[in-house]
Amino acid sequence: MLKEERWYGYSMVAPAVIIIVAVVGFPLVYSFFLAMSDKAIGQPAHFIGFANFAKLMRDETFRITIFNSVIYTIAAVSGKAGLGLLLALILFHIHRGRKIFRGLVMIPWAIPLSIAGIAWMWMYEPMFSVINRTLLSLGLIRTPIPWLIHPFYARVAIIITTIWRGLPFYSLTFLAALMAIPQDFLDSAKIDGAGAVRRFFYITIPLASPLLLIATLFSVMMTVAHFDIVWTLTGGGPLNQTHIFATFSYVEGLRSGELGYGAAASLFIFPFLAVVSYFQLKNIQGRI
Amino acid sequence: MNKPILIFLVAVMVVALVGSFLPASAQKVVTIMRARHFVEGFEQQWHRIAQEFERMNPGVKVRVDYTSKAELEMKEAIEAETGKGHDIVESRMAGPYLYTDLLEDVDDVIERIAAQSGAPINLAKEYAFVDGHWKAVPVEFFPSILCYRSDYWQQVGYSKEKIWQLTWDELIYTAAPKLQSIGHPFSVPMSQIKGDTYHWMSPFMWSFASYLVDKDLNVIIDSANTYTALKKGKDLYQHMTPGVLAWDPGSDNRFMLSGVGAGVVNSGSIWHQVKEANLPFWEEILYAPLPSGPAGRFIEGFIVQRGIWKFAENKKEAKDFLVYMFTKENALAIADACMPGTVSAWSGIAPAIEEGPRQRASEAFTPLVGEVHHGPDWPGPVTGAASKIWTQAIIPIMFGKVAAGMSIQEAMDWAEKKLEEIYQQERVKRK
Repeated sequence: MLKEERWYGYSMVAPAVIIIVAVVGFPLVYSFFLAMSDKAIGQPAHFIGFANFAKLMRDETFRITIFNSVIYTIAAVSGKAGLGLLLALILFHIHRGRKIFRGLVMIPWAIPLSIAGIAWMWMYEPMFSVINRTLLSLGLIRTPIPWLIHPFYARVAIIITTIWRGLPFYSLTFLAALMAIPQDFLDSAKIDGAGAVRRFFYITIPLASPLLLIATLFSVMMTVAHFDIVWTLTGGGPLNQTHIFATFSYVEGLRSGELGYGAAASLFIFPFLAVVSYFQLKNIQGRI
Repeated sequence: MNKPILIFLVAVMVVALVGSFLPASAQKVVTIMRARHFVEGFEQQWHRIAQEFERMNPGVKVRVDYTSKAELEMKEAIEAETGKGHDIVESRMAGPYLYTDLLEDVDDVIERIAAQSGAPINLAKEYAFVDGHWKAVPVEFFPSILCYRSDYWQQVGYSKEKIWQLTWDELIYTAAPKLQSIGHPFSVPMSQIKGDTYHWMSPFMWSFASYLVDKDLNVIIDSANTYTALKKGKDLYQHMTPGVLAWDPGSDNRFMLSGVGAGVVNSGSIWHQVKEANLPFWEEILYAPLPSGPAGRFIEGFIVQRGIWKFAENKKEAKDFLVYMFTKENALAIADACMPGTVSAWSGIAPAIEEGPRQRASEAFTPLVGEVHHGPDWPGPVTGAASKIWTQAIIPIMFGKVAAGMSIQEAMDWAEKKLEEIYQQERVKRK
């Protein structure tokens, strides 16, 4: 490569590098700095090494937070992926009113999350809400379900709401993947005698999988860093039993003013996401 | 791109560029960040006062940026940390202790207001007078009071006079079960999502002589009195509506507005909402002091203040605005509009509330019977720890744990550990 060409290449990528350093690199480095300090709002920071991380590991609420984050991410992403794929298949095969149905699917995404969160919170209300009233009147339950009151049901409620919110992203991504599969492949398989199930598992899934994996990777990253739904529905309660990384670090870092401790909590997501991203990207590279 | 559009875009960019180098307009804008008040009358008075202030001070505008109560602390923290933001910020509870070095001294403002509206009440001084200086201008406080449906209570044999003499024991073991049996329970929040939870829990604990810290900031929550308070809290929980462990900031209002609830603590807004919605039972909504316990009858005064950042761009105008806001005439108008539910923080204004016309018409006034203290760390000194205890909901979680089945001793141990972490830092700061 000529020297001029090399400099020309560097100059072309320089804006992107500057933006990434400014938008991603600086906040990340600053987070590490905060996490290793006793920085409190309005107070100077002092270096304290890994003391914040050690304190986190002794914190019972944070141990619950780790457990919640893992369960929440696995359950919500699985639910979104499974139902999203199902919905995409339904949308793919609907011909009459196709545009209307696809538009309707977008509604959970179009509603501002703060409003949707409040609506769901009211729906989970144990005495007056639509969910329990409906289940009671249908005879499906005998006593009201303690949504948002009992830690188990509160977690379930959060996961249901998260799946509802994330379904449009998954279903439309999957729909795009389905539409990109050449019809010839499916027709040939059909002529060769492959049934719908075989065509789905041997043609549709393998061809759509790179896009499905990328969607899943995005979803894992978005879900593990979620804040709004949990905060609106439970605020991390009842009894601190539904915190995930973002809500825990918000309470500890911003609301209590302990920025160092809050930063350390939020950085716990980092290795988790790094490992997930590495394996998924490696998997995708192998398939493309 | 066609030529006229290109010329237009270039022209816009040039104008924007030149504009950015021109000297700023002579007009000054006093910027204020605060939560929207739960009483609409407050907002109306605020707008009137702001407009009058603008007319009296040509070249000065007043701009309010509203935020939710939940986000207020976060936004304040960001402004404090970045050194940029509004001129005036709403400070709640121990804010002046958290941001002592970042808030402008407002001794002169207090002096000018006091000349007309009387000195600030003692409660306000406890919160905002730090290291010999006023760090914020007190506005009002929300006292913890009992809001009840008089018709339901009469059904179970409780007259207004009897409710005013209520003890916690009688409420928990007699009144609450009776109200529950007629399908109209009394309920108070035990959730961490609702900041108002402390509003009844602190006076409840104080009335059983249960405290978090002593005057030297030693944590003293693990006591026989706290044990008693937690035991009684659990007994009360048995007679409340399901869901108090997850009540949100609007749950108590919805509970009463639905017509189901017989009573809650701390909701001045309920009377306003019921009246504005013209619900048939609005005249049945009355207020009473909180019940008493062996150690007395208490009120928690949740105080709201306005602070001016040291980095504010328009300090003088911000101070002038606050002084104008609390001239006697304006302070009285605000206080009257906010009845019932809030009490002015100015001694010359607060007594006048009792003469307000609205209370006589409805009997819905703010019954200040009992010792008013700040919370939740009284009788310890006010420190920044109060805000942390509040935001981390340590006491509501402790009560919630017991209600959910944890042993009382385990719950106290948990709370003691959390409080010790917070007060350890405060003790170090004091040294």
